Amino acid sequence: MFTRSITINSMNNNNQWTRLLGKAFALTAMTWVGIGLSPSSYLSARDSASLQKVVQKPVKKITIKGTVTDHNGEALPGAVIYVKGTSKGTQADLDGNYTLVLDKPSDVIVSHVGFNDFLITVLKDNNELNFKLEPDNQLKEVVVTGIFNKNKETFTGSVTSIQEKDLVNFRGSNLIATLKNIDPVMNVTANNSLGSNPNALPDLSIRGNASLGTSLKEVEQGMNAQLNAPLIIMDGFEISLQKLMDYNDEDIESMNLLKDASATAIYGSRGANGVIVITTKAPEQGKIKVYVKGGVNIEMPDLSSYNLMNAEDKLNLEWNQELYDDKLDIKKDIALKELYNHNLYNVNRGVNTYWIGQPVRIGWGQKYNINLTGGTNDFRWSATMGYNNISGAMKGSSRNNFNGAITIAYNYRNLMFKNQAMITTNKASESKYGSFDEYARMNQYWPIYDADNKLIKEYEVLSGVPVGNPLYNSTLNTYDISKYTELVNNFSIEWNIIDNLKLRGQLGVSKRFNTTDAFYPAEHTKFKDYIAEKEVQKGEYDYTTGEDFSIYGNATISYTKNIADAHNIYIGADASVRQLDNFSYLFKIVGFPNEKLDFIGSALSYEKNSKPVSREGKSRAVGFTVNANYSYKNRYFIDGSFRTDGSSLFGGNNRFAPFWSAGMGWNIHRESFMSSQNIFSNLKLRASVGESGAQNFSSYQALSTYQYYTDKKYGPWNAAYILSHGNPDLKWQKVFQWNVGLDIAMFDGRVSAALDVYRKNTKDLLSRKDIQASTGFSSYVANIGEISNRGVEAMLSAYLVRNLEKELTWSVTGKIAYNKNTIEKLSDALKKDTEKAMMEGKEIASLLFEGDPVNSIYAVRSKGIDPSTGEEIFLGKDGKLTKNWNAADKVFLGSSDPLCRGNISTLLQWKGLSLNLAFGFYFGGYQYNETLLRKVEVSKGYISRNNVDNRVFEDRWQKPGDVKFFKKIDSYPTKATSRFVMKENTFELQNVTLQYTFDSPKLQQKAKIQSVILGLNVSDVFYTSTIKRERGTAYPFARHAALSVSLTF
Amino acid sequence: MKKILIYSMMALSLMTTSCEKFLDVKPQSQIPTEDIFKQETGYEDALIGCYVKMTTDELYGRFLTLEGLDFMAQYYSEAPNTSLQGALKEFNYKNEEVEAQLKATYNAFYNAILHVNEVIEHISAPEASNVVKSELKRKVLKGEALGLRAFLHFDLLRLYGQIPQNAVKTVSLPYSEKTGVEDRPLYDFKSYVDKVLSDLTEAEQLLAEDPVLTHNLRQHVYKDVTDKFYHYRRFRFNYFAVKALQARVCLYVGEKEKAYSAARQLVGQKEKNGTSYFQLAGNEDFQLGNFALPGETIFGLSNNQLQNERYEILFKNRKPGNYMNFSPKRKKELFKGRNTSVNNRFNKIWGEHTSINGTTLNYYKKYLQNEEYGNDQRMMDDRCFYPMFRVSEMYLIMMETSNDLNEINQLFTTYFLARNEQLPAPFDNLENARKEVIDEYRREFMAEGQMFFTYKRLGTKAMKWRNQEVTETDYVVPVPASEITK
Repeated sequence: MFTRSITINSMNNNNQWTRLLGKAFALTAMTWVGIGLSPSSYLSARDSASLQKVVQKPVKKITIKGTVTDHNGEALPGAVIYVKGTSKGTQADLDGNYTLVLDKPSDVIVSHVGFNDFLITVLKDNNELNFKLEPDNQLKEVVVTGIFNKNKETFTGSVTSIQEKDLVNFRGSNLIATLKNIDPVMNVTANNSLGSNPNALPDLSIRGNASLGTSLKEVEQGMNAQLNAPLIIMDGFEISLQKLMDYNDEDIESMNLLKDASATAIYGSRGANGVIVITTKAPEQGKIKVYVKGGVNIEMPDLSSYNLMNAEDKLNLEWNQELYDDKLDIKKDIALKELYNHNLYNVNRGVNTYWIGQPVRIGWGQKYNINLTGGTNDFRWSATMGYNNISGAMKGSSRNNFNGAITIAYNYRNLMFKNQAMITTNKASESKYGSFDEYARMNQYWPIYDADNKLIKEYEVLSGVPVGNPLYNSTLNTYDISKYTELVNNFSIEWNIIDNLKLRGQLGVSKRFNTTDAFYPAEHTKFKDYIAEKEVQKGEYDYTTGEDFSIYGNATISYTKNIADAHNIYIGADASVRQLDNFSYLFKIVGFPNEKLDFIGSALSYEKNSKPVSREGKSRAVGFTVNANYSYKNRYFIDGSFRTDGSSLFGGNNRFAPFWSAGMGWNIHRESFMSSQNIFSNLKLRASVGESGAQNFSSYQALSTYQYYTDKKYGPWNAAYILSHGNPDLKWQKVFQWNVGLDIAMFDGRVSAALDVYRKNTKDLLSRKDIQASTGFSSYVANIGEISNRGVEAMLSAYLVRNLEKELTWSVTGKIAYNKNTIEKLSDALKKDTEKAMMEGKEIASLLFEGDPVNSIYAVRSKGIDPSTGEEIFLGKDGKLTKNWNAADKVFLGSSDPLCRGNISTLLQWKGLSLNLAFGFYFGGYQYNETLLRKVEVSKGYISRNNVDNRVFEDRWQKPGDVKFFKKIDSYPTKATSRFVMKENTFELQNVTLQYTFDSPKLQQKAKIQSVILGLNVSDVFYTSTIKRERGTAYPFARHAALSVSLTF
Repeated sequence: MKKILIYSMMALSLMTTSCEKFLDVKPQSQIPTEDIFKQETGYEDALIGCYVKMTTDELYGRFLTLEGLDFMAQYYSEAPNTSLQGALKEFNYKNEEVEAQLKATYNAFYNAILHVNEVIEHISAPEASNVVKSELKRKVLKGEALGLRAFLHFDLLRLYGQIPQNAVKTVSLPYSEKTGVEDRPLYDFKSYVDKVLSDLTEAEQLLAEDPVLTHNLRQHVYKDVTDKFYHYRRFRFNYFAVKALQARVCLYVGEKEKAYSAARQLVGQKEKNGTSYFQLAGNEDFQLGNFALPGETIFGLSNNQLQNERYEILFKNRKPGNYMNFSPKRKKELFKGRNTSVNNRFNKIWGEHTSINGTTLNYYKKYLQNEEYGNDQRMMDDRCFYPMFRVSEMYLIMMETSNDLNEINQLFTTYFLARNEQLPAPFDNLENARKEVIDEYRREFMAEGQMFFTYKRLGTKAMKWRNQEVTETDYVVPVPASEITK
């Protein structure tokens, strides 16, 4: 729930207790603010298993009473006294007095913000059990940044912390959806075409687009998404987005989203787009704990956004549009009338095929996870296995992941070793039903089977070639499967050289084997145009194989010093090295007449005149980072970091680039004038400024480079050609950003809030620069262009009910993220590209103009449909009305990125029950309503072949005097018009999670099970938006639900 | 403690020095320009890169030889005016596809020129003598590069430049002698031609020791020369190519005497034993299936993909959409005036086939890679290439520029003998002889892209097979709009 909480990544016992506590205890929210541990709504029973001794004596209640004071004897009101590993406890009153009744002898913990926890084992009644707490000066609260672990209290950066609990409560259909549910700062762009395809990777960005492709073509190809993706670090090693999606999320301890310069400058060249840092669970000591979880996932296709015409209406529409008449050719007219009669016959006997329902299903998948952990103080281990099978909403579409990991942690004197070995196997299948939009276009008066119950292959249409039955290919043995196996080993060693000096080294190796097999037998519609000599080439097998290998090592040294109990200094330095190698080969083999014989060896030959396509890559990078932090009495603090990065991908004079950040902060709540009040337990003002970089140019763009021809020779000689003009002065893109933030916690943690204001400027944007073709090339890459992102992020969270005795809490959290993106400067080449694209009537979104945001929509302004003619009236650039559409009249109408995104969630916990509702909203963005273009305002020719939306009947202009939204039916395609540019303000219930925990002592005694947790989770419960359009076009959109049972022994 | 600090400092400094080297990783097949010219083989590979660029579709692989220019020369009739080929035939340079094609060709020319300029620049630097130790090699590298530069610029001029005689519309084009991103200087017609000729003069000097002079062009591998770089001279811009280009350039700009003497030097070149170095090709080559006439090719561009990529699609294609179908009627018109019963071009270099809708069509076999003639190295050597200069052209140049009717008749006799024809009667005046020369250009250089330029240099108003008059605007192909020409 509280997203400002942190994880503790440390080795000594004291902190381990506190971490376990954090998981177990829901009530001490205010303590969590201070120590930053997250509340949880259920017992982490496996935690308490190691802590509680099995008691055989008869149950008898024990009462303790006393006072809680600080080391000076001053009362500590609000101190929490609770039973370790449970949610049962009480708070000290204004005088520091407390009373606690225990069911049995147990471990009791006393804690308060700013003080060390106190643990005591209570065996009998005690009326004078007083506690004196020591102030906490230790580095207990920690922000895990992936390189250094920083003291949370004196950290100047803007960070969103996510605990395991949050991942459970906000669970979406995949990990990225979960993150989006938790924090709107994660901008996940829904690809409306890909819908809920489990094998599709979403596009995400943090705090707006900071990068742009160098040419309009790159922007169109969707390269923007790749350029703006945040960096993902897991346990110190970089991983890909795909790996994060396939990862066993049960193994994640916590995640941190690093947003501003203070947090990201340490990542130098890769930090400009924000960083997602993931920490996986560490093995726990104690008796062996077993955690087992099993569950079912359900993908339920949601076709409610489709509004297609039924058989009768469509036939009537075609008749009314005189599509069955040919006034010129009597022979053709007869044929058309015959076709009409045939279709009418089908309609009359009740044919109304629900085509879009054919390729979809309710996908039932399963998920299992088993985790064992145990060990002693010196040696701890854990083993995990997880299996996740997602069955997509389209038949045959699935994604299966298996993850296994063994982790060992070993202490020896002042050394700590940790090794994690992991294996992941994945298999992804695409549906053989093809693309969903084919089904949406099928006329419903076409029956699927003929009178003999055989699948009809084609349907005659009014014009053109017959339309194929998209179900046909699904009856064949065709498939498209990708697989990979990945082996990873991460090793780290930590050496506490002396008390405050620590050296850590890490080495990670990963190897991945990929294959793709796609098979299309001879009968597949892909080959229906193969005639004559090409007949023997029907049937195709595409085989790809490849490997990826990476190795990463780093060494970090850190030093902390506390002087006179007032000054705290931290210095850390890190050096890292990494290498990536990959290659892949693609073979196309043809000639498979028999669909059952799909073995490559039974083919006719390689594709004619083709040879294997291969790709290889190798790159290396090094980085050095230094970070220093100084704080005075935990009140004032400053932070600075410097990083230099070099990569083999850069050439020229700027192979290394420096990045830096500086920050400062003020813990106002620590001021002496604040010590008397007890409203604010945390009031922190922080500011940071810095520069990170974005690495996205290739070596040959900086240095003039020759490339050898690998597939061509000239006579007996080899040849090499020039790749491009080099630009030796090519610099890295730099992102300069500043961030000011305020963190507040009030009323003993009942209310917490945070506010961040930021500005992010990308300078030296890489862009093409046009030159005279007589130089040999017509352009080269230079640093031109600037993009800015300005924004505000705010969070407010409050406990509406907090009744510790009744074990009832109810909290509400709201978060909002506002980002305004502007292209400040563009290269002339991009401006020319855009002008040309505008003239050609290119696709709506891929235009770039200075002063407008990156993903802008341009269209000609429309005044609507003229009731007398049924034609559209446009507004020219000069303001005059005109009937002619002119590309030059296009204006900026809005951006497809919403201005503001937000989440509101509410969490209710009562004893073992927990219910979380997460709502999301966004507004300020616009979309070009593709559905209206593709299904409603279609041409006559389109209607003659495809099914259309119901609105064609109801809302299109038909006769003079009609005042309708859509124009009359004719043969002219609709070009970019403001009529279809619609506001996209959306409100949705993103996620509902319901959980019940059984952890009664009876269960523990009888079945030796510490706890049983039942969970139900539904995503995308409801959705309302100002724009009505089809969601999920090439792949349908689906709701996701999951049921799970987990046991802890 | 101190020790630790010291050791870590040392480690750090060690790391920084080896960093640059560590990061010096590139894909196997890429090498920075500054590095490729640090090895002798790099020079060779870089020069050969230009030849490969010349065989691309935009240049001599398709547009300038097989397709584009021949449509402009009115050879083919079936292309509709809306197609690329049809628009070219109509000189419709505003057609979108034509514009795109002309832009691609223009860019490709200068890209190839950039490749030779890199070689010239580096080989002219003093350090080059440390890398390329042999003086002969340096001369050959530079000489070939200069020759290619002149060749490419000249064809740029022929295509995008003004008409050489009585031009009303003048065009200045860039002559690129540098590398880098700065604009190249523009030259008017005369200065441009002077630059071409001066590059050729320098090339001629540098190639004075070209191995081809002491061996024979008809052979590919010279057994007494160990360096493979000096083999296959026919596929490279050798000494004779320089002379041939000089002849062509001078003829184009109207310097008849200079053209005559350059062509004469070639035709009259003798071997050591006194026999003629160059022989016209005909019956022998056709028997071997070498329809591109390697026997008389002075310089040609090799392309191992010729069969698959070009020939099948363009010439052998029987489908109705193939605009390069040639009717038997046209073939007769082409050879009007010749003794078609014996002329080996008429009989051997044309094939016949039936199109899909039943009509008989002729197809041009110049680039036929018929495996029945042998599918071995000889195929690569003697068939898979585009001829750039042939001895036939040198004869024709002499016949056009000579003022001695006797000499012209003698040349014609030899010329037609190679075509298996006897000269029926000697020419009685220069005009008729010159007319026959032009007709021979049309017959002989089909699919070599020379006919359009022949019309252009003569300013011909009435092209064969075209009803409308051809104007100056039709001859001056426009430079891409984004390029500065003034």
